[in-house]
Amino acid sequence: MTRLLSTIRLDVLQQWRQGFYYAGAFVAVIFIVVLHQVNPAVYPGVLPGLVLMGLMITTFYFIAGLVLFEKSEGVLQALVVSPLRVDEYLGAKLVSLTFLAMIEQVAVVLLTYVWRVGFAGMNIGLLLLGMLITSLVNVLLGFIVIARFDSINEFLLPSAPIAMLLLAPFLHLSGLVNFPPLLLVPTGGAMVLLQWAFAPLETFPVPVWQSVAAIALAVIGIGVGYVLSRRTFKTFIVEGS
Amino acid sequence: MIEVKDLVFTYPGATKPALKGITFEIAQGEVLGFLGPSGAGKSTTQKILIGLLSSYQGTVRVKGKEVNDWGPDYYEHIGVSFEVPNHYLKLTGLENLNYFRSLYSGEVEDPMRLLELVGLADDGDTPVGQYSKGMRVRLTVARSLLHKPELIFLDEPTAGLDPVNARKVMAIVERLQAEGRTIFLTTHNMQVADRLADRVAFIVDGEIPTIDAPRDLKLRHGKRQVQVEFHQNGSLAAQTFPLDGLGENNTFIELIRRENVETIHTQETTLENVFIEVTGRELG
Repeated sequence: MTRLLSTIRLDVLQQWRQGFYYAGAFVAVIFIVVLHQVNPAVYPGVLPGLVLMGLMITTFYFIAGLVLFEKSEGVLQALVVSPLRVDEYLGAKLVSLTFLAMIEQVAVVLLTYVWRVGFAGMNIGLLLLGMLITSLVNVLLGFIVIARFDSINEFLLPSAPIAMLLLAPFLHLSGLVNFPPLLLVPTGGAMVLLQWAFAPLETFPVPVWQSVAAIALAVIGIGVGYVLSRRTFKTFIVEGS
Repeated sequence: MIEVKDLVFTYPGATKPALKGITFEIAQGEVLGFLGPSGAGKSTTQKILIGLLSSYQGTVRVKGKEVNDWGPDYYEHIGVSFEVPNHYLKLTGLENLNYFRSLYSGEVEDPMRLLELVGLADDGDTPVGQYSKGMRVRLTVARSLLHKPELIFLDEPTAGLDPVNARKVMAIVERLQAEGRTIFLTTHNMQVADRLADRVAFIVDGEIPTIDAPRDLKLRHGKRQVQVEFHQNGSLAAQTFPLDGLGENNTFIELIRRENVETIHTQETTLENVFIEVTGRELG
């Protein structure tokens, strides 16, 4: 536990000194300014998508930046010959980046929806759960991808289609297309929760069972992502050192 | 402390093995210099010994236990100092050591004492990003000692250092040696190996043709001769004599009495010459 706690502390300190908190604040300010230009009546429709996008930037892309810093500084080489366990390494990344992403997006919701509409019509529990699942999925997926690359340029090319794939369940959940297999993408369940936080499940353009299945698949996706992340760590970080 | 027997390793996708059945042992408290040119198998051997490559054939036992059977606790017992310094550059030297110190469950050193040992006590609160190459190397060595390991792996500990810093690092290694620590020293610097190693192993193309004490190797491969340099008629002249029976060699005695002697050297060879003679290769 001491190793996990000290690694979480180190990751937060690293993220602070590398300017990740300033970048997160910048994203939040942009979202808040934009949302203050529109009528609050549209918030339930646009906020889930914006929150999801903000979380993706702060988790999927920030984990890539963090791991690239660790690779360029060579510290991963030092960590793999220390008693730090892979679970503690991944756990610290999940906790520290989820914390950063969630305070950023909670601030967005507080300074837009709550500021202008109040707490009415919003389910905070579902919102936080949706944010949590989104963050965990994105951190794990970001790690699995970035572990294979040594520079941001190499990462950006495959990251674009992956980011689009992560947003794809929105097409089905919003009723734009009728293609249930899109819910296999783990962010689908997180999207359901984020939408559900602002609107009743029964009002969704897809059957309720599909929404519930999407949430279950997202939870399973986190488990699968974690197992894959552990394997990725061994193959690309330990044996690649 | 370390027993390696018939170690073979082939990288995935490679047609030839990187290690072709090497065998060696390192006793408790011994410093073994592992010498070889780039690509000879030094790094592969070290990676296997420190548990980073597990798909090897043969036996690799550390402290009586197969390396693949050790779990993460293995790193409570060994210290590793890599050739390229690797630190969190936005953190200070002290913050770096404090973080790594928190990862160990056993008895640990006071980071400030280690910074003093490597001559960085006044720079503990400076971000490592502002350290010179020599300071970063010394911090790497300090980090490898945080948990008082019995077995230390030092990979090119003086590479890229100026003579002053190189001397400082060698003095640290000598101190560890005096404390009875076992050291696996990977280097292609013959002077470092000659000064620090109790024995040296030459590795070339994944094989170890020779392991012995540097002094024994130099004596065995050198000439049992003495060369005298002296001034004669305004120019420098040299004459060699057999070392055996030198005290009764009248020509030698007459020469050192009569001439203006400049130098007298026995003709043992250098470790580098031994390496070239044994392996047919040069270190580069």
